[in-house]
Amino acid sequence: MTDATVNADATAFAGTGEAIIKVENMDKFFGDFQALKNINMNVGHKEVVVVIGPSGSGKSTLIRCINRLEQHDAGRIVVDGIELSDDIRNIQEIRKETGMVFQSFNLFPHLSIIDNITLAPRQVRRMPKAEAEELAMELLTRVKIPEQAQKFPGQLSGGQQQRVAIARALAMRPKVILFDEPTSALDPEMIKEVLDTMKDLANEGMTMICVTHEMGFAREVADRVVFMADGEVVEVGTPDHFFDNPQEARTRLFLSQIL
Amino acid sequence: MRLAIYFVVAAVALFGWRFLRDVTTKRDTSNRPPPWRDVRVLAVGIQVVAVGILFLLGSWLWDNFNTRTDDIGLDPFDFAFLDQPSGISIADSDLNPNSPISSALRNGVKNTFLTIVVGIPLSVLFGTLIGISRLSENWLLSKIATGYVEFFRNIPPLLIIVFTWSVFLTGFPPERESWEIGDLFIFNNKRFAGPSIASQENFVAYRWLMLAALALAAVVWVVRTRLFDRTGTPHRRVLWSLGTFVGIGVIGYVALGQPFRFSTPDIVERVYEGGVKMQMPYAAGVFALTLYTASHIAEIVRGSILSVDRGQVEAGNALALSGFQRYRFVVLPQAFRVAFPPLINQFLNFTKNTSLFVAIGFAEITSISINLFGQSRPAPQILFIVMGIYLTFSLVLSTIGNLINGRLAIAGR
Ligand SMILES: Nc1ncnc2c1ncn2[C@@H]1O[C@H](COP(=O)(O)OP(=O)(O)OP(=O)(O)O)[C@@H](O)[C@H]1O
Ligand SMILES: [Mg+2]
Repeated sequence: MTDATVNADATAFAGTGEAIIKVENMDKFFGDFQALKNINMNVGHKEVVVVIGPSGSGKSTLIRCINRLEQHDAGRIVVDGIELSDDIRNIQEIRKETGMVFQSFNLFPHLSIIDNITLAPRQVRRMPKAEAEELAMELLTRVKIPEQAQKFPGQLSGGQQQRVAIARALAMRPKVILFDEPTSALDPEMIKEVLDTMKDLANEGMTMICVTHEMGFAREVADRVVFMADGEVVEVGTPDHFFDNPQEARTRLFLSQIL
Repeated sequence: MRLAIYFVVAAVALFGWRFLRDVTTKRDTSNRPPPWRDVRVLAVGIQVVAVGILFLLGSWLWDNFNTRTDDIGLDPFDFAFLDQPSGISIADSDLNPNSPISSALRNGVKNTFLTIVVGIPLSVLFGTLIGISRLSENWLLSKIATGYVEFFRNIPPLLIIVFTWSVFLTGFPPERESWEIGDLFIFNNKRFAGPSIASQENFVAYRWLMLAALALAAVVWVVRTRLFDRTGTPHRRVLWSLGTFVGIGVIGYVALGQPFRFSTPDIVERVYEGGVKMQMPYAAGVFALTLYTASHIAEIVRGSILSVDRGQVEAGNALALSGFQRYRFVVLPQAFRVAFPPLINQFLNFTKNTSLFVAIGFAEITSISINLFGQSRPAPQILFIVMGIYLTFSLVLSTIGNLINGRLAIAGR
């Protein structure tokens, strides 16, 4: 097998029209260490991209650059036509359009579930309280825990907390949601409920980038799978291609280790 | 006396035995360990022994005290002396050597209280600013704050107080050459004076009116907030509430025929007229203790902000909260919960440290009691009273603190 047959181009996206996320020639350094090397990647409307790769390969760093939790050092990132630059206004605009779900939930422990969800819509979108609460209840119903609205994060199970975190991200009505290993901190019996919520979202047409080790999820939901190693995009393909017929040696090694 | 001891010991023993019996009968006794290894018996046993020892020690001391006072012919332990003339005079008060000791003590309590109500809020304000500055990305600011904290935290407060006092004493001019700022402020090395409000006719009515205005302003605040919550109309509640309050204030002032006037201080023939005045040692003491306490509070504030998980800031950022909103709604509420218990501690320390003002001659409760010893007043009784007073201050502070702390607790944590 030659390198020529490996598809490492993450710029071709499913669907038509403009890509909603464009990453061009992006580098990211931590001190002298280069965590991301010349990343090129596009994500189309309503596309679900799953990013996989060994630990330390730069998956988190990649999606954290997209909403400026990390600052990229070279190249361009454009989200929904807005270029991510040092302009605070652009950063805020992009953050309004991109929700994020963290591995460790990061709910606000001092606020009730409903306040967790309504905080950003009320403060950032200036939504009236009544409207925000109505929206929050709607979202809680969607993630199937409306009865928990008045509780506090510490009183919920991990799976419930992560579903609240998803509702919180949705409350800003983002165009994209970034997931960074949303099920890695969960007990096995709770993983399913979170994955089901994510599947529902995907089926409803939400644009998503998911870093995850859940291969079943990737296979079922992903439009494209991106495999990263050592800060580079190594191989890109549909789930079928990816799991049945991986080309690159590193991909196969990785898949053999986790499957 | 002996009888009392036997009685107490018997009561403790009885109580302990009944407790043990309850403990042992509540559960199935088939596989209980021997008593000396039973954790429940041990837990109760230790407490019974501790209380017993405490009582024995206390009554031994009390016995001793009575025997000794009898031997050297001191007055019995009672509080009749409180009505006798104090023999001391207190600056800037109506008290003279003929006023009873109880009034002198009361005046001391008042002065201690005045240092606390001014000093503690100032310490919190200043300490918070320093603490936040230390976390600032501005290199100079953060280094200055660090230097400040390291300096004041490591010097005995008594030294800071005496030093500040001597700076004030030599830095400010004598009374004859007082510095005056306009007609409003007077500074010299004895007293500082400033403008105040002097009551005129109808002042009492005006005070009630303003209290009502305050309540109305609060109502306006709530109404505007509710309206905003329902419809999203900008609430502008600060403007509305302030407008209500000031509006009523002005109308009332006119309608009640000028119920107050501003009074400016003046020194006429070495007597202060008008305005409010404070003694220089008070100002120096509060200033010094504020510097000292603020350095501790700064560390508490810094530590509590650092204790908030980084993920919280990231979640706030990911939700597009602004820097201010992130602080206001995410970081500070969590930091405050961490800071609160040690802050209460600092309030208690401030209160206790005001006793050091004895060194610079400010008539707070400790220096008054020490003055009274100089008049051969009974030290044990006075010390009891003074300890009781500090204990009361501390208990009030910590009770308020615990109430607030309980309300702050995060559910499920
Ligand atoms: N704040 C940081 N400072 C220095 N190095 C960092 C920082 N964050 C990440 N790195 C390094 O960058 C590389 C990529 O990290 P990243 O967290 O993106 O990996 P990942 O693919 O998400 O791994 P995992 O599966 O373990 O989450 C790693 O080598 C990591 O040590
Ligand atoms: Mg990661």
